[in-house]
Amino acid sequence: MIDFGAVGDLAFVVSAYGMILGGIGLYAFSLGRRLRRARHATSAAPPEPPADRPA
Amino acid sequence: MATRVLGIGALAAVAGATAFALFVVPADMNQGEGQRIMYVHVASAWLAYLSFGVTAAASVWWLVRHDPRADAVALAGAEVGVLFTAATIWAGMMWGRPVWGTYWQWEDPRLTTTALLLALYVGYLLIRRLTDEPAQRATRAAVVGIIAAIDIPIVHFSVVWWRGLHQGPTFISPDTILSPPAPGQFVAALLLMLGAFSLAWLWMMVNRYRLARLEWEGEESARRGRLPRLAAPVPEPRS
Repeated sequence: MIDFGAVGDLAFVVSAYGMILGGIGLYAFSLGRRLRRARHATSAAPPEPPADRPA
Repeated sequence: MATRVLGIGALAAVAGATAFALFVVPADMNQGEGQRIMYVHVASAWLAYLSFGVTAAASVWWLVRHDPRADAVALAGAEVGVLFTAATIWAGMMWGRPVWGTYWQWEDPRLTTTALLLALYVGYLLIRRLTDEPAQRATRAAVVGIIAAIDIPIVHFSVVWWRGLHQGPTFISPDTILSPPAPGQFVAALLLMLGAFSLAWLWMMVNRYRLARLEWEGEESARRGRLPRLAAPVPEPRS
């Protein structure tokens, strides 16, 4: 068992908050980046050929 | 623009609720400082239930209507739900160590069914990677999303049905929070955190939905780009 010392003191609780909020923040940041990339890829894609023109 | 305002509001709300929970609310008489972890734990758990409930409802929507928007909502719910379930488990472990004396106990029904819930929805996300065909993927995922949702009430009522380390449900009824009467500051901290996390949840759901729609459209246009060559009409022979 890993011993973190004084579990349950305020420093322990603050570090637990840091990990939880840090994880959520990291996901939110990565989601924003994925969305920007997807938008960029969509806007950079060449226009589709007209449906009546043979490929 | 509205999503940006929502994001900034969520960030400010989470920061404010965290400061309130950590530095304004007094420590609990019995649990000490560890009690403060409950505010994020309960809020995360509630939003995990909500996320997976949204996934189940959107999965039914997909199976009935085959609407790509339904699949995007289902995916958003599953991914955000996995995040909040992981946060729930992590917060519970951090609370359990000082209060229960252990991070984890497999014999506890609430802990074990929550771990199963996480595994089920990680599986949901993995199943989505098995095929590139959007409609087939959405149908497979919808079936899994509905079956996995069976675990949500099992997780919630596990503390009622079976005996374990975990205390009774916080949100089964309002009087569970208020009776025995909890100090107003404790309830306020819990509700503030729940509100702040809900804003963050909404921002993530909206953005994950948008990303899923873009991914779907990208796949569809890539397929259309390939299909004309494969499905080009064969010219009729001249007689």
